[in-house]
Amino acid sequence: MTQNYQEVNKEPLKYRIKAFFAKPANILLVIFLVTLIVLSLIPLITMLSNMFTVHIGTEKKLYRLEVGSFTLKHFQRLFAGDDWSRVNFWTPLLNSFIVACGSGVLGIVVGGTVAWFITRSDLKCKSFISSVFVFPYMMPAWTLALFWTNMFQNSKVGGGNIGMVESVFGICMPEWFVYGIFPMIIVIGLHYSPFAYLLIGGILKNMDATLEESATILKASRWTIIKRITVPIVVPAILSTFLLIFSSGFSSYTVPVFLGSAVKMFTLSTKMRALIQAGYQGQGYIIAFVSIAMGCFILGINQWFTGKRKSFTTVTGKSGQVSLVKLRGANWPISIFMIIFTIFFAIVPLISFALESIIKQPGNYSLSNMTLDFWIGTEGSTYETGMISGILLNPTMWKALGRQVLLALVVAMIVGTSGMLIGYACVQRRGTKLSQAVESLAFFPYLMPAMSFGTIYLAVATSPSFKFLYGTFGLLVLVASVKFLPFASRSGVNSMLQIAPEIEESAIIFGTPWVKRMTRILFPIQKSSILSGYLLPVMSVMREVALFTLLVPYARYLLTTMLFSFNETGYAQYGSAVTLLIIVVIIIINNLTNKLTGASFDKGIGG
Amino acid sequence: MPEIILENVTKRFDKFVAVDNLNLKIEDRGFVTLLGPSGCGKTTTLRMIAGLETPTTGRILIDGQPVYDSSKGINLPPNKRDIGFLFQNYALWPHMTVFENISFGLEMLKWDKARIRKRVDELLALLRIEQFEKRYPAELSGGQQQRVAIARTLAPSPKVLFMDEPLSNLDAKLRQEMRAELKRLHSDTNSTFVYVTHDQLEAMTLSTRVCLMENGLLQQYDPPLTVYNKPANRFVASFVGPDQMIIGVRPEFMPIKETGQIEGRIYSTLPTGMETTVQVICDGTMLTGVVFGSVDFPIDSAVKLDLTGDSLVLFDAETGSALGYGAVQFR
Repeated sequence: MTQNYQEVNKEPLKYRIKAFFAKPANILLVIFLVTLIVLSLIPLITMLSNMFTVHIGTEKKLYRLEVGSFTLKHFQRLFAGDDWSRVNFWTPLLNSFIVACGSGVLGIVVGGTVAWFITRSDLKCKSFISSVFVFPYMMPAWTLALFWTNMFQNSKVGGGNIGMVESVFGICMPEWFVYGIFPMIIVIGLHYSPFAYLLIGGILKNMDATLEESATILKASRWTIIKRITVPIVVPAILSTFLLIFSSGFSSYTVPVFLGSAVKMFTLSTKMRALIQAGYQGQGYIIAFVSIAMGCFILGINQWFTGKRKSFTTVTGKSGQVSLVKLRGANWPISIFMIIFTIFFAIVPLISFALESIIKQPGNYSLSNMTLDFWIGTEGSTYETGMISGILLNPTMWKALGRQVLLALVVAMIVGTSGMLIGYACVQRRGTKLSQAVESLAFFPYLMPAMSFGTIYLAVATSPSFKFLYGTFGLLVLVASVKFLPFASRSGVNSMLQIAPEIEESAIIFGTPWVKRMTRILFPIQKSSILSGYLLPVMSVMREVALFTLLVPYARYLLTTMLFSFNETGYAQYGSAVTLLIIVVIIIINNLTNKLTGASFDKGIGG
Repeated sequence: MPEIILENVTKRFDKFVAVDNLNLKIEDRGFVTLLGPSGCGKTTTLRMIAGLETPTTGRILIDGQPVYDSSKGINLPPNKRDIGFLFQNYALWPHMTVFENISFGLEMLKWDKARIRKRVDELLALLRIEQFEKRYPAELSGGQQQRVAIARTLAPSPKVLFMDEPLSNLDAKLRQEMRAELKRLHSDTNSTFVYVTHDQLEAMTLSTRVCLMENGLLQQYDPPLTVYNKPANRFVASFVGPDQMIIGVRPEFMPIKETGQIEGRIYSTLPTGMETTVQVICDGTMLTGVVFGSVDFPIDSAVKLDLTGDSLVLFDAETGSALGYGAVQFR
């Protein structure tokens, strides 16, 4: 590792440059710096300028201004305070805010409670509950939303399709329960509760047991210990988890599509897309900017908060066994409740998708209403399916799946390799301005909600100089690679930090060339974390919708965007079938990841 | 009077026996160290007496009161045992100030504010940490944290104080200082101390009795000087003492001098200024001697040494237990 002092070098510039580029890490850093500036700052600037320009189509007609000319009209319309601005900005903003807050609270309460029971009590069936509970986190968030509508939609609300609850129990749930803010909070909150569970559970699990034991010895009661010691120590983590769920909820696109469209309820993300598609690009870009600003703001709070003394390192090397709280009589009731709860949200959705994908008339679950036509039906099938055949026999579907898998693999190669190299270079030159710049640039896309990120790339692809990118596979590769880089570069940096510099230095002394040092020493040491750096983007691409929805040349281009077009056009059976297919692919990838890297979602916490 | 008695205490983790049928009597106001290599069961023993760990079988009495009895199903929780416990990593609560850390135990006893204030001030003064009262643990050095932890433990004036390697996280100089402080504290507080350590020097210098354990078994339970001079077996002999006792001779009874009876060759020397520890190879056997004063020997030089003193130990070659003590005469 290079020392962190100011280098005083009075040699001629030519030699200094030569010395600088003699270090492979410097070459890498310069390459990444340039690439990342091009790929994240240029789109952002393009988007900013689009907030002030007139676009072809609706805007040109409406404002009677020259295309491309400067205007403040977009701002005036969106923030005016009249009906238009209320419907298109303020109400969606409020909705996003409520959904984000609600799901943050729900996620923390559910995840935190489960974490406490799993790590601190003698609950039964811990490993089952733990592994099933984290399962929904692996699935795309919209699967729970789709499940919710499958269950509760009824003849009195929305499109009038009959859901399982009405069909079986004859109960029609009220509209607020089926669509809108309430189910969005439930779905997003539950989707992210495993995330809260993993974070809080990790801290509870690793928290030094002596912190609680010393309170026991000082005669504090169980409840006093939870109240005065345990909770205050995990509060910083809880807060930062809340902020992360909040920002995910705020920018969520897919869930509001499923749970809001039917009753015309919009959040900022869905509104952004609606405005852009209706030709109000300028205002759409402003909303994208607002979401990005919100993301930066939340992350800023989080940084500020975790940077303070308030966050505690509670993990120490030597920690005694925690004595588990005995639940006594309440044990079985709580365990059974937890098992039913986790099964309902993790396993029942899969069954429901399977069921929904084989019934002809929604809501009728009799055997006579069932068919496999949506899966394997051929052209001659009797009813209107919207496609020429069942999805397994449909070339469009296979092409979409093929494209998505190809996209996932290409993106994974790019992201995994970049993450690893960024990790190496940044750690090598840690402390230098160059390394800091690359590290923060690589993390920058994290601040942007997927929908907004897609939007800024749309702005680039529709600008005259980058027209050639519009609607191409290459554009999707680019946008996904940049969007999914933050985690890969973070994990690259973390894994490289774990390697003592002596390890590489001893190879340097033997005269081992750089490539050999990488391939023979550094990468093999961190094999499993590097492998997961390649596999995680695969998973992300396979379930991503919001990022691609504005950029695909047509809706059925990718499997996930195709699914959403089914939803919009009302082919629920195909939607369920494709969802099931996506989940199966994700499970396969996840198991592969486990096999190859030994990493698992709930490892280290589950009972 | 807080006298602690352990009767046939055994602790099994699955198949592994951490503590095997331990019998121990800790006198009132004693300062007993549980000494042994890591994994010998000393910490487990301490945690069992404190109630943080439940023994598998046996009986533990504190002050005549059974706190654990496997045959009668008695198992008092730690908060009912009237004890103090000082943890190796101090376990200070990171979200509380020094004052809050120390006063916590008194609050639990429902003391009124004025009384708490008075007691905390006493302790702050006793441990010379008055100026840190409002700080958080993260803002203190290791030694200061250590003092806060001691103050927190002492606050409710426990009759018995348990300490689990409390000095092992400190640097050498501070450790030496704190040792003296602990000994002072012991006589000031009038309570019984039970102290876990793997450092034989700590055990020798601090305690009134040393309980030496290996693999969960009690090896010897005697005053430190007895353990040093009359080790029960070879393990005890080699574990206690400034140097490993290889053939039953402490280094100080092996002077190097011209008139010595045994011839050898210097293998290595470790001069400290006050004395020099010398390793000598005699006829293929490595012996360790000590020479007082500032002297050194070149490596591989020939020297002569003697065996003096009347408490050389004779060990059984097979079992390692001590057979007898005496002097050696050369003919």
